[in-house]
Order: sequence, then C-alpha cells, then structure tokens
Amino acid sequence: MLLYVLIMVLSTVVPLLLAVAFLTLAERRVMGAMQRRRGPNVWGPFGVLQPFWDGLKLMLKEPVLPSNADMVLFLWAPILSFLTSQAAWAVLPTSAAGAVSDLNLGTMYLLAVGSLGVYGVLLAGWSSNSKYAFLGCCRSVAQRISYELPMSLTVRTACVIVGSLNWSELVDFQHGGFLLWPLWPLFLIWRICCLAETNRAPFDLPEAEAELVAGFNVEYASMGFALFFIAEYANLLRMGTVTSCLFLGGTAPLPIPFGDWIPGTLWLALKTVAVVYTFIWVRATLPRYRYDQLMTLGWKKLLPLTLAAFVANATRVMVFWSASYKLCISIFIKIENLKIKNLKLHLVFKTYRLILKIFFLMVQAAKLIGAGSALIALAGVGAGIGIVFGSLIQSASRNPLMAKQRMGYALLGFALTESIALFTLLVAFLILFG
Amino acid sequence: MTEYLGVLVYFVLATGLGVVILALCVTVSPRRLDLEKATAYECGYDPFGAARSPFDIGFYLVAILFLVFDIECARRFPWIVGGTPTGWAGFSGLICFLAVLTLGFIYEYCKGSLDWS
Repeated sequence: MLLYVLIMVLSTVVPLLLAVAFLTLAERRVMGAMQRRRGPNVWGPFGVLQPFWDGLKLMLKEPVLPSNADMVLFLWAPILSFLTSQAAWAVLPTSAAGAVSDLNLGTMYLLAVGSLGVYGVLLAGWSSNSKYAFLGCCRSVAQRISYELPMSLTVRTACVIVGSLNWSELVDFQHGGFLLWPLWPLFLIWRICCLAETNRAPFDLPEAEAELVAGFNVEYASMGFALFFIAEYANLLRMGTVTSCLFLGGTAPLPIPFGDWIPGTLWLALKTVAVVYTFIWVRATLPRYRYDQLMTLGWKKLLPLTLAAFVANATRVMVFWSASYKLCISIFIKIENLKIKNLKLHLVFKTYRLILKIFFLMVQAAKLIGAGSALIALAGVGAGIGIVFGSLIQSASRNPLMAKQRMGYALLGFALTESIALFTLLVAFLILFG
Repeated sequence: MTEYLGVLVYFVLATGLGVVILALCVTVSPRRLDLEKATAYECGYDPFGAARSPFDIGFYLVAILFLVFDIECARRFPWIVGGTPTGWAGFSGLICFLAVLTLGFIYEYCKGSLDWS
C-alpha cells in the first residue's frame, strides 16, 4: 500500500519538477518572442538544456549564510516554500485514476496548503534580519493574504454548485459542461487572484527587481534561491492546474468529435498549458500595479464581488433544489391524475388545432411585415435616382463641354439604382408568396 | 483515513528532497567565508539601524481583517457540503450570519480602514 502510494507520489513529483524546469525556459522564450527577440537557444535544440545548466550553476555557487540571520529559520523557509508547493498536488486529479489522495475535503486542503506557503515567505523575510528583506516580506505576505479571500470564495462558489469539496467530483461534474460557462465572471476574478497569489506580474511589486532587490529572498544565494524559484514556478503550474480543474473541466474532454479518444491527462495538460501561457502573456503585456492600487483591488473590489457571487450562487442552488423537488412531485401527481381521467384527451386535440391556427396567422402577419419593410428600400432608390440626375445637371452647368461623357455616367448610375429597386421588389414578392 | 497516506508521503518526500538539495549544495559548492559577504545587504553601505524595527501598522490591520474574514470562510464550509438538505431554515441561518459580517465589512469600507492597506 505504502509502496503504491509512493510510486503515485513520485510519478507526480518527478514530472512536476521537470515541468518547472521547462516552464522557466518556456517563459523566457515566450516572453522573448513577445518582445521580438529570441529567448535562450544556445544550449541544446531550442535551448532545452538551459534550465539544467542553470540548476547546475546554482548548485555550484556558494550559499552565503548571513552572520546575523536566524540560521534554523533561514534554512527552513525555502524548504517550507518548496514543501507547500509540492504538497498541494496530492489532491488534484491529474489522471483518470484520480488524485494521489482523493480527499473529501480536497478543496479545503488545497486552500490550507496554499496559506501555509505564506509562512515560507514570512520566515524568509524575518529570519534574514535585513531591512529590505523584511519590507519585501511584509508586502508580499499582505498581498497574498488579501487575495486569498476572493480566491477561497471563488473556489467555494464552484463547490456550492457541485455540492461537494472533492476535486474528483468537481471534475466529474464538468463532464456535462464546464463551470466556465455559468461562472465566467468568477473565472476572470479567479485569474486575477492567481496572478496576485503567485506574486506574478502585474502584481509582482514585492519582488520588483529594480526597487526592492528581489524582496524577501535578497539574502538567499544559490540553492535557497533555487528552492524559492522552483516553489514559485510550481505554484504557477498548480494555479494553472487548479484553474483547469475548477473551471475548464480538468481531465474532462472538450465536446469535439473523437474527444474521448484523447486521454484525460493530456486534456488536463493542454488546458494547464493554455492557462499558464496566458499568465506569461500577461507578464509580458501589463505594467505593474502600485501597492495601494493592488490592495484596493483585492479588498474593495474583488472581495465584495466574490461575497456577492457566493450568496447569489448559494441562493440559486437552494432555489433549484427546492423548486425542482417540488416540481418533480407535482409532475408525478399530474401523471397519476391523467391515468384516471383520459376522457379529457379530446380537449387536448382542440387546443392543439387552435395553437396551429394561431401559428399560421402569426407567420402570415410576419410575411406582410417583412414585405412591407423590404419596400421601404424603394424610398432610398428614389432618393438615389434624384441624386444621380441632380449631380448630372450640376456638373453640366459647371462644365457644359463634358456633358456627353457625364450623361454616360448618369445613365450607369440610374441603371444601378434601378437594379436595386427591382431587387427590392423581388425580395418583397419572395417573402409574400415564396 | 487511508487517503491521507498520500498527503503524508508527499510531506515527507518534499521535505526530504528540500533538505537533500540544500545539503548537496553546501557540500559541493566552494566555501570562502568573508565578512563582507556575510553581512546584510544594504546597497553597498554598512548596515545601520536594527532590522527588527517597528513596521507599518497597516500590515497589522490587513492581517486582523484577513483573520476575521477567514473565520467567516471557515464557517461557510459546513453549509457548502451539507447545507441544501437543511432547507430554507438552514439557508436563512447562513444568510443571517453573512449579513452580520457584511455589515461589518461595509463599516470597514466606509470608515476607510481598507484604504492603502
């Protein structure tokens, strides 16, 4: 049992770490392409060896440990960030076999582990015992907890509609249709919260390289920095996968022909790649938010919206739950009554004929209205002919010598306008009698 | 409870992996201790003042507000899973709870404690 779980965990962690490595490369190349330059393309074809050489470089550099830093916390902070970025993947259903841990409280677990990630940042800034690190950490922590509220409310709204906190059930629910269609405003809010949670542009003020010099991880040298880096990109991938599972159906196929033939894992991968691509796209496109604008957005705009959305969807679920229950009961009673009183069937036929009559009368009225409105075009035709001949007369009065040539143009104009008139009449008669 | 085994394995594995990476780095890389390298970064100057000085009260306010709303969110969880069978009575209980907290939120909004922070 333990061995089985261990294999499942490893088969999620190892591809994730590879994905993080290639995501760093992909981000650099995609941002380069958006800025009309090449990204890394020196090492390996299309630069695929670049992330591995980067990792090796970081490993071989000296890990500078500041003298007045809290050593235990200093070393624990990147491990905690790395830990929480990995542990959140336990509940996500990454394949048709389901998640590694199919928790009934999966959503709550994911939100909790995401909140624990904030501790990594907090400890890093605090234990570094450096003013820049501390300020960066304060801002980053405040930003992340502010945006955690709309994020958790959005997740909970989706859970209210599905009626369960289990990720597998959320994904199964979406086989009938993605939660994107009814909840598209929440999807937009969710995307903004994802960007803010991962400290990603346009919300990357805490790690704004030019101002706060990498913020909370300014004192971290080689592998500590690398662990934070891996944690950030793993968080990004996690946000992409959670977006796909929550709104885009996760492993559910798109309703296209032969969609079922493509395995669920590939569908999830495609959706995650699309979402992460938009994250990179946003980074290359939008300017940075100022800190007070950032906090205003989170508290004063997104939080009321998500609160209202939760209440609205809870009400909707309650109404449909109660109305559909009562409706089913009433239909059942009606069916029972029909079985006893089948003498009333002739009344059904009479109503049917009456409905047909009304339908035909409506079609006739629609035809008349259509033909009439088509004939309005004749007014335009009359105006057109007047314009053609008026311009002929005016040009002849200005330059009498060119009158013959102008006459030719006037006749051409008249012919075209008359053809429109005839076309209008054709359409009107088609509508009436066709 | 056996589904939590995966969570445990994940925690142990990720912690172990992090520790291994750090240990490997410390072993493999060159260590040349230097006073300048080991002091805090202050844009090239000597560090002055204590790093653990008092910080802006706004951050504290954000944390307290987050705490209040997080407790409210935690209270919502039971309703999401088992709230619909409680019918309109349970729903109105939830709405009363949320209404009180929304009144508090409106108060904070109008009082200006959500500004800047």
